[in-house]
Amino acid sequence: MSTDPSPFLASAAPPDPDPDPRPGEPAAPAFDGEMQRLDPRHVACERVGGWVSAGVVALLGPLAIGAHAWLGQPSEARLLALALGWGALLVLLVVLNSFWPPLAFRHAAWRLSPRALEIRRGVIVRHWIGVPRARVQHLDVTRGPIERRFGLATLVVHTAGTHEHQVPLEGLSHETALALRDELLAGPARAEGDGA
Amino acid sequence: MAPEPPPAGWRRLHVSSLFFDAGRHAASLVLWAGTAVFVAARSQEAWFLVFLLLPLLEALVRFASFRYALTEEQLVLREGVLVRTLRHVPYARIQNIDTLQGPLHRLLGVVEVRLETASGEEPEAVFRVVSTAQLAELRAGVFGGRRAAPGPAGEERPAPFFRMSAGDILLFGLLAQKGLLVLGGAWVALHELDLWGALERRFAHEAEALEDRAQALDAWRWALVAVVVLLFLQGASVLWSFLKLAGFRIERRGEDLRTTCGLFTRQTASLPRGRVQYLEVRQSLVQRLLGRASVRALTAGGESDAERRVARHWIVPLAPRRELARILAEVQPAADFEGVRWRAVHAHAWRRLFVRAVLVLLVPVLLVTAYSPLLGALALVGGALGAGFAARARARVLAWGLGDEAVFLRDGLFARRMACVRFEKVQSLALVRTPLDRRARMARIALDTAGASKAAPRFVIPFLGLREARFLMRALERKSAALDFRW
Repeated sequence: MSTDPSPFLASAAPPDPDPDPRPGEPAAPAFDGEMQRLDPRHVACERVGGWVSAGVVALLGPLAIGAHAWLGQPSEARLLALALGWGALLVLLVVLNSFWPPLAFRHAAWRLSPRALEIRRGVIVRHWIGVPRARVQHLDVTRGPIERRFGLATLVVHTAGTHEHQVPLEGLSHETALALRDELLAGPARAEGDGA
Repeated sequence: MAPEPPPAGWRRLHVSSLFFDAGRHAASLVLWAGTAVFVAARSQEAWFLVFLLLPLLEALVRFASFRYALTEEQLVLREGVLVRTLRHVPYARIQNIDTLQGPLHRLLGVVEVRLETASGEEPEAVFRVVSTAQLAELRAGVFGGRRAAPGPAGEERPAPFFRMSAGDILLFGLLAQKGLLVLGGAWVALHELDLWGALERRFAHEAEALEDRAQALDAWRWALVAVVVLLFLQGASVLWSFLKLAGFRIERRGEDLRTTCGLFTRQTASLPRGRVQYLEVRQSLVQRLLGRASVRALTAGGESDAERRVARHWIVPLAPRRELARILAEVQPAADFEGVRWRAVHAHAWRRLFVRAVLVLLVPVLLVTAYSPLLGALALVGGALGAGFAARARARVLAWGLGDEAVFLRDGLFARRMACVRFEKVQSLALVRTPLDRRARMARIALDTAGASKAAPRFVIPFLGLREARFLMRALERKSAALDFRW
């Protein structure tokens, strides 16, 4: 299961002739309606994010347990349980961080058809999201500090909807995000521009 | 930016605005007056009473500075003295015009008007208050320009296509269970004004006597008390219903729907029927038994004051089921629930529902088993049978349909719900598969529409067969992308 290629790409497209665009050499974004992978750098980017949160847990755990031992005078069994819990959490984070980002990457894809932007994501709960081009209200390109290091960006598509009024598309290269944004902005002639 | 003052000339609010605007702050006004009088009395300086005039002055300033004008394309508002605000609201953006007319308003021939666009909770413009002639002009200006058929407002009224009968208003009150709300309101009022404390002090002796007698009551008497309380609550609910809904009628002028209701305070809500984002027919079990149904429509305008504005919340609070098709044909021709070719969800949907019900029942059954194994076994068998029956029945009701203009959903075992979203109003689509869905080769499809609040009901078709879900997803994407969204 975890070794087969992305289920969308496997059936939809022939073997990719130019699989991975190398960093620093932006892939020409293709808006031809074919399924696109996220930028492969997204995996490393997610990993760094995971390491950061694991690091925070690794640092804060002993601090919190130490403070508890000092102030609360807990029993030794209790301290041991807390330390074990902390260790287990840390191991879980490390293990998760090693295999989750590639897995998520394999299950994420997007495509821009003449009608709609389509996003697929989710390892456990699989989402296929469609936003008709004519429903795009406005677009954000946001970049966190780690994303900036990797030359990545997140495109946030805003609609006039209620529950899902912003649809984020993470893990695009910055160039692709900008190009996709411009393409969506230029989209089909809309009767009305702004609104909500 | 804004062009200079429009040619049509500025309009002002009605003079009685002074009174109503000051009255809006009645509570703080009383406090203010009390303080002013108190200080004046204590310090023996009568001139302090001048401060009494401040709120009036404020209303006067607001009245004097507020202007509006109807131009070709937009409504222009001007307000403020130090900070001047000039607001342009394009007519095409205005979602609905709501009005509120209390007995005092009616006496003076004025009305409070709210205009709403799709931008958030607060109304875009509040006119407190204008004359009814001005309201007619506003309506004609805002909604008139778009209409093909020239509908001179204020002249002959079109016959309403639905009037709520007194029996239905009574029934609505009985079913709405608003008695507690009324009681709660009364309690809060008593509490706020410290009448409660006063009552307690005044009747302390009687209350004690009552308590003694209450202890002497037997079960039958208690039941009697309960019945009396229940009757009282239902009576209050019916009263509420008549206050809010008396004379409920809905009429159509061209593309605009207008509902009117209220015994003393009359509310109206106007909305272009093209701006209904989501439409829903609901029937509770009792409503179904009595052959009644209610219709609800969501617009993108704010719902900051939903409790007060029954007129817009419900297109039809309660109507005989057989009149529904006729009413819906006027309200939203696309919402032809009778003509939908309903399609079932996955044949095994009932299994999922069954498992869900059994899991919910598991805890109580285990508790019963701990108490008595025999009862537990009985509860298990009974629960499983009931769950199976209910799951089968609900899976039979659960259905979806694709019309020429809209997508439909039907759901509910006891309380039925039929929903309709036009393709034009679909904002985004999602096909979602949980691990359970994937095991059973199912998927659910969720539509997102513009709506006022997060509490709005969602349009989700669960337990679709995977092939059908994919087909529906593609179809919806194609059909909604082909249409431009116009609020």
